Amino acid sequence: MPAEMVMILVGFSTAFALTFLGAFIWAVKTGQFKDRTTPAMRILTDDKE
Amino acid sequence: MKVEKVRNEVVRKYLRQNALLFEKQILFYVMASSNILPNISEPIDKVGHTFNSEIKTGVPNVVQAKEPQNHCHHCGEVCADASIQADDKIFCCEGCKFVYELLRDSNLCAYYDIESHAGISLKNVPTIQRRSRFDYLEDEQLQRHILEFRSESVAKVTFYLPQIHCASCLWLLEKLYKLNDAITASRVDFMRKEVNITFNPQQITLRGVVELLTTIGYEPELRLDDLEAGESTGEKSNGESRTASKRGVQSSLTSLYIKIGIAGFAFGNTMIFSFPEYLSGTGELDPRLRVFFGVMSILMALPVLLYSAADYFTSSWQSLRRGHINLDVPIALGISALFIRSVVEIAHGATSGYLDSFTGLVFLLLSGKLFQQKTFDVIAFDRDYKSYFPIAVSVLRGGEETTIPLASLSVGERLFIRHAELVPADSILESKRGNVDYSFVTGESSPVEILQGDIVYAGGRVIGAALEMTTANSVSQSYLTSLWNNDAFQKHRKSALEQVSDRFGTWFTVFVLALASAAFIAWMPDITKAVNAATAVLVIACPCAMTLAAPFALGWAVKIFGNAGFYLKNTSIVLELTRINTLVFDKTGTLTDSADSTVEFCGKSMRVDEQEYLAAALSQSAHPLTRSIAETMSYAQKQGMEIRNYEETAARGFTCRVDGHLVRVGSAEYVGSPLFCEEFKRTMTSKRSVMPPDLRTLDYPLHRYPATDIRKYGAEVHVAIDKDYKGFFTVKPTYRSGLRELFASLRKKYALFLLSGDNDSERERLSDLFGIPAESENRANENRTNEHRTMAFYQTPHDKLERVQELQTAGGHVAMIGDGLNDAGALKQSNVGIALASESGAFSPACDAVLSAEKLNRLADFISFAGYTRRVIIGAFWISVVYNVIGLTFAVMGWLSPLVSAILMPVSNATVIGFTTFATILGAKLRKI
Repeated sequence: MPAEMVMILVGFSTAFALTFLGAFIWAVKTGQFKDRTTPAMRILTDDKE
Repeated sequence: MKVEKVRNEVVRKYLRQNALLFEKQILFYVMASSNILPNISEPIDKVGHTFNSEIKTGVPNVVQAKEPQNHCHHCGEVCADASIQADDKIFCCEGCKFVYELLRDSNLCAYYDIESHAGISLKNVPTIQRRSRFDYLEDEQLQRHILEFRSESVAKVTFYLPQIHCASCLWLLEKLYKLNDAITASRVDFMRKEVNITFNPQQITLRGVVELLTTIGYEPELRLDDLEAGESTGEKSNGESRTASKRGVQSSLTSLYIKIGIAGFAFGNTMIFSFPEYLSGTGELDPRLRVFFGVMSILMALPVLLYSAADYFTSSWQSLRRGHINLDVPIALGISALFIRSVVEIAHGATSGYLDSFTGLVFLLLSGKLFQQKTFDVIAFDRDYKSYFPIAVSVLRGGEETTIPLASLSVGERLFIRHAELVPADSILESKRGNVDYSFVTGESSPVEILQGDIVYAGGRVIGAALEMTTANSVSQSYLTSLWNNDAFQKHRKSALEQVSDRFGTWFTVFVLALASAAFIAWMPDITKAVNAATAVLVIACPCAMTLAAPFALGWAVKIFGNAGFYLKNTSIVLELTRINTLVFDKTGTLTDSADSTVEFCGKSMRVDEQEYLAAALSQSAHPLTRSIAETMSYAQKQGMEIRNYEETAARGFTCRVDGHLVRVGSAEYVGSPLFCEEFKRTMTSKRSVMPPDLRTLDYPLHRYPATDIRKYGAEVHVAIDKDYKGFFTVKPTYRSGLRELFASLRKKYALFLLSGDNDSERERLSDLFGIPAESENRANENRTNEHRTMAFYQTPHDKLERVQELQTAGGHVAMIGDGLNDAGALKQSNVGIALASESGAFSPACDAVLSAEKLNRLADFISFAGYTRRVIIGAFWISVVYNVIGLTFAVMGWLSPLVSAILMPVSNATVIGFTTFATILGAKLRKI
């Protein structure tokens, strides 16, 4: 019984963790990590919209 | 509310100062939010605005600006008067006022709030009224090359804007859609100074976009190499890819990030899956669970093997096919052994395998690779002559002036080249006469006068009146650019790092295989144990000295050098530097600071108004000597004079009338009063220390100069006002500081040489700097072809290249320090080519490293630090030897288990990485680098 429980739980948590890996790969592919200085400057400029 | 405003102001001011230092930004976020900020009372320096210095000569600077000066609301420059105004704000020129009004009408005045005087001065930009200037952008083929994307209604393009310097620029450039509806979006990359613009090609053309940018002061810099889609010399060695294009580098980084992400993910999870086995202690693990975790580990490790580690396999396969063993071979061997043995053991239900060690190793190896590669971002290397040449040139076709892309330039076209523009191809001069500045090409600082029918070489810059010429050669076949077709640029030499790691890889593989076989044989009667021991050897042996220590130590060294102003192209250069035994220097621009000259005056003192006439006259000429003198005269002196009848005789002098007074400036013969000059020169060339009476009455005598030929000490510019001879200026090149000490320390270990394209007037001064006794230099001079001659002048770019080759054949490892196009061949040919730059954009391509001009005096320290880094790697090597000995003992004796491997491998890797990082950084701190 406990062995099956562990297997099910580990299975689910791994699947869950995989979505995070997927998110990371997506972020890298869409260039989220390309420019790390400009966004920092951008949020500080005032927008009087 | 007021507190909020003040706080925001303060935060902004700090961030402006440190816009590029990400770490400091975080610190100030924290400080701002916790309200602990000191009082800010000093004004912040404006970016990019320099104020003229006081006159340096003996002529006293009587005229001082006493009234408070008006600063242009747009660009911050001093306004002569308050004549140009709008909305109660003063502007220095119509251009600035125009931009202000444009921004105001689009409600973009926040531009001036974010950063005051953020505007780019439009004074020096050629007027946009020249309609034909952007003609070439209508060319369809050109557009196809420049545009990144094009469809019916959407087009995207990226421009390099060197004017980007502050948060205001960022803000304005991302608000382009407000200035013109046809622009949908724009995004700035501040570090790269690029803007990516999305627009509707049906409503605005590419030319329109460029014109819009130019109007607000951000004219894009389009270089010929922007047209190249991107070349890649895709040779991979040691996993290092050498692609030249920016996009190539980006995509290899992306895939590396993903590989590391997958490896790290697998690493963490397999470690956790191994815990049950390690922590089960005396109790037995439920066999189903053991199998389960084993299978899960294999599933995790598969993508690591097939994707993350793929490069190592392809690289070692390619290397073996060529008959060599490079460093990736033992890595591939170890990785495969780890994986296969783990799968076998899991299948048999024996243990839970070595997959945690496996994924951990791949993760660390890839991290090392990433660390090495990240340093590519800092500066864009691998440009060629095309990065100097503009993208378009003005030609006369059918009597009309138009601009065409440089690529469409053919032989026999009539070019129209203006002042300060570059000649793109060897041409024959059609105009009667002209001046060309070849300093870019030969390093010679005085312009050359050419007559109709003479050849103008590509790379020369037109000075003064615009010239018409007919192209005689295509751009790539011109004398100078053909330099780039020289063998030096085609050969791929193995870098120092490649050589060392290949040798290490070979040695290591042989040793490991030998040991594995020995272990196998030793255990022989017992097959199981024999196989166990042999594979254990393969599993545990780790070439981490090279695969980890080298990337990390060299990566840190490159990073530290970069922070100190010495930018290396890649990590291999550090090792190249340790092999150097010869140093070759260029003179003009390298040893001398071409922007700064020492100006001294000898003659009678002038009245205040005479000084003003002189200053006004000097500012008319484009000759570098008069420009240097004009720079020393303060701004206020140049204003408001009426200049008439300006006449210049190239390279001899010029005359003009300033407010009616005749001012004559130039060589001694040109200015007249030869008697005075002859007498003076005779005094100077004779050994007499007593001056004749009439020379003694001078207010600013030449007491500084010993009694030797005055020519040795610089060029003379004589001055006469209203036919009254006043005296002369000497303009001496300023040598960068610290050279004497630099050469003194370098001389102890390296052979030093000087190659200059300029004339030999500085020979004695240079001998003195180099520390060469005058007699040996004179002896060497007698025999002009003597190779032992330390200094050579009048060198053409090809001469320099050949000299470096000579030195190399004689057994030298040469480092060349130069700048400008004329050193390109020599820089490429030498083992380490170092380009000296005062700004990060303006250096010679084809170099291996860029040294910041003010850091030249630390060259000796830098080279010695490279040697230190190498010693750190050797130290790490011995550490890894210790670990390998321990591990191999376990392996050979058959005691290796997953637990042992899981402890030993991470610990050894971490120690090696930690040691190299710590030792490298400590070494740098101690040397104050």
